Amino acid sequence: MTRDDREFFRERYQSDRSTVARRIEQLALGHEVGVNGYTTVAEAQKLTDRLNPTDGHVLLDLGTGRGWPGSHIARVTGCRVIACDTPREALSEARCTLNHPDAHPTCGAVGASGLALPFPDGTFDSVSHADVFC
Amino acid sequence: MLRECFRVLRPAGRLTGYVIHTPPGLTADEEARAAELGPAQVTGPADPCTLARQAGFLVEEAEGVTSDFLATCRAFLAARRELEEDLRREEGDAAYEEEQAAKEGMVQGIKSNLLVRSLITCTKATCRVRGVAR
Repeated sequence: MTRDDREFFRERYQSDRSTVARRIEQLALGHEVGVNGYTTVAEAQKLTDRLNPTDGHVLLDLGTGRGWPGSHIARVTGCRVIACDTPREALSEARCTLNHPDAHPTCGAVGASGLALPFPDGTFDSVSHADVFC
Repeated sequence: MLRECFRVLRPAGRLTGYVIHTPPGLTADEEARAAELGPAQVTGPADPCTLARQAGFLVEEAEGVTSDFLATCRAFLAARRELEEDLRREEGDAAYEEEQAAKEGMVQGIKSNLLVRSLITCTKATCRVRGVAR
């Protein structure tokens, strides 16, 4: 990711989402968490099916933005999700979307680049991403 | 980024995600056109499965999801047209038209087979073949 890309995402996530933006996301993707990507609810579920997390599973959702698709996986499976991205402006919302009765209580969000993840070797059972490695 | 995913995964852990990329066999001009039309992260002709293997992963499955991607891009365009009046008021005419042109370009890139999207599932395999992690 270039400096321009980082600025683009930082600016994008700094602004509050308007009612119109939420309606567009709902119409196009079937959800409204404020994504900059193209992953629908059905596609988030397909990711979940591929990963098939079980009890005690720890998942890293890389490039999570405001918490998508990690929050979907967390709610559907109850596994522990750690959401990770660089725009810190988005991560407070990611924490909110992960703070859900159906999600594991220790889900969290970490501000970090995918090029230097602040986790020890072998921390995660799986990693999900959506349109990060273009 | 893929090498970092490999590092933080436990042995036999799984990496799954959506990738927007260019199909194989494009000319240099077509690659340049794809980079113009696609998201900022589409920067070159690298095959995502090859990149995953180079990072040490075993690629389990690469499923083409381009038709769904096209449908989602069209849905965004349709939603933005439906809410055009509100968006022009909120974003301003120039920003609205710029964003609409970008989304139309993305649709054109997909329809012209310059942009594709895949769901790629990889495993951090524990066996080693001839000293090289697969």
